[in-house]
Amino acid sequence: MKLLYANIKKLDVSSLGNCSVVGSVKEIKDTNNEGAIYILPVTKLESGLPENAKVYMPFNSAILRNGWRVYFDLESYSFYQKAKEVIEKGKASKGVFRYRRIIRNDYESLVIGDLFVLFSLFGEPRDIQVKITDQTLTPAHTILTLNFGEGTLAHVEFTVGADDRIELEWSGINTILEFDSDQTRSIQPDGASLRYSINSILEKSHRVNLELITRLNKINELLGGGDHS
Amino acid sequence: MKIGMMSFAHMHAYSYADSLLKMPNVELVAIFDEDMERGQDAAQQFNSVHYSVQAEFLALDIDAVIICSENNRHKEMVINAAKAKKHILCEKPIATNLKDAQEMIDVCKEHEVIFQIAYPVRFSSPIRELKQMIDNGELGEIVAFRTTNRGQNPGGWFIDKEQSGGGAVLDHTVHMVDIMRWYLNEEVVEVKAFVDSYFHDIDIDDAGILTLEFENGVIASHDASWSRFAQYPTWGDVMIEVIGTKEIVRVDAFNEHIRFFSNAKKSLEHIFYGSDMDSGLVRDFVNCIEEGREPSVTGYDGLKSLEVALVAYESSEKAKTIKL
Repeated sequence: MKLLYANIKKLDVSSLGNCSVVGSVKEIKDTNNEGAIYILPVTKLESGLPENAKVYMPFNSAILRNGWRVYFDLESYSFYQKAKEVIEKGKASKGVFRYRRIIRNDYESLVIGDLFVLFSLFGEPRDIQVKITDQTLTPAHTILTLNFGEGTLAHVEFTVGADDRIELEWSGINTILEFDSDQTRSIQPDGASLRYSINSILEKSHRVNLELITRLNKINELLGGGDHS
Repeated sequence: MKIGMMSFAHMHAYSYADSLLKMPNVELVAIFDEDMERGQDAAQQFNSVHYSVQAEFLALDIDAVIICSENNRHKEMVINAAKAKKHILCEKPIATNLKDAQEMIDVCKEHEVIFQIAYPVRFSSPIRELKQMIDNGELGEIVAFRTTNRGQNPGGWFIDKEQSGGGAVLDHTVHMVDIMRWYLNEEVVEVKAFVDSYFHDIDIDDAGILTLEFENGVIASHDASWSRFAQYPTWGDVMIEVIGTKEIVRVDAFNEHIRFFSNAKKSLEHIFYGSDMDSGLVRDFVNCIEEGREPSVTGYDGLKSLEVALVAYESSEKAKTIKL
């Protein structure tokens, strides 16, 4: 049995398939069905979860337990999985990656999560500079200048804003990949273009263990600012 | 007003000459170019007279010159034109090093001629509109900039370091640094950059990412490259996003376009219909001479933006952040 905790509004309804949305673990009748997937609101985390349950928790939930699986916002979007496929195909060649995100809520955890995901794609950066705007002024803006070696440079930027938006661009040799979540709304004007794919969550989540926590802590330390190599 | 053009080595010369022809009070009296074929062709195209000897050209009764030579020849042409008492509009970058740039500024001052640097982006309508919004306080206090200037590899002398002084980072950093300085009225005090040759098999940089800090703490990212290839729908971009405490506003000077699809080599083409910034630049230069005022973009502006581009190379070579 899989228990997927999520902000239900963020899920792409078309990807729900045979999943059951429940308000609480108590509503689950058959706790022995190994193949069943239950989606629960992340705000309703209960104690005493069934022992055989595989728990999937969003990174920004602030609760991570050994053995659970954690999923990151960026990795849960279908667009990212498609972009990753294209980038990985051309990764042998050099390129410049640009990523810009405007974040409404959970700024810190989303920044850490995005960096974790991007470092998983490009490798650990060899040289990093982190610049942060004057903390007394809003909106906060962070610029990361990254050299991943092997011919990959990146600018990764985050801004606190009124709406969520992700833009990314990969410029390789005679190839350019572009994405802007504001340009890909299927429903205009207010449809959301940033919705999680349940398959991506289930397939791309990470087991919570010491190694994962150490990597996340290291990224958190980077965000204090300055040069790192 | 009588104006002459010095060299058509830089492709902007053609659009500047075209702009001159549109002005009723201006005459394009002569074209100097040591490249005989290029000079004669230009003279024919713009209904002017070609000169291949610089001294003969500068001896003419001309009020002002527009210099569009290879970058490493700007200094020689600016100094000679200044000594001949011609007002000068010089293509960017001002020079290939700071010493030459300073000497050019000093000689123009000594000979009391106007010395303007060709930063046409300052004359783009949306770029000017954003400047007005900033000055009116509509964005609040500026906290950060994001800028890009990506285009196609121009080839030719641009990829010969001796003649150009640098590749995409020099070519495409000075524009946006100039715009940020203009918007902010502050100087860059810190540069971190990675510069490399990425997109073409050439011995000069074609990509760089820069992170800057201004004296008042404002931070900025800049992406300069020749990463666009012939099949891309447009030549490239000139984008600035200003992150202010009241509002975040983004402008792409080349975004006003219609999309044209065909089964040609370029299946999608962006056809630009926005403001003609080159004409705005040339018109401003002419007005500046007529009104006897300080140029809108001074030699010092050219020097300070050049300084940032050169420090970006140094930062990349030394793999460290450089304080100016």
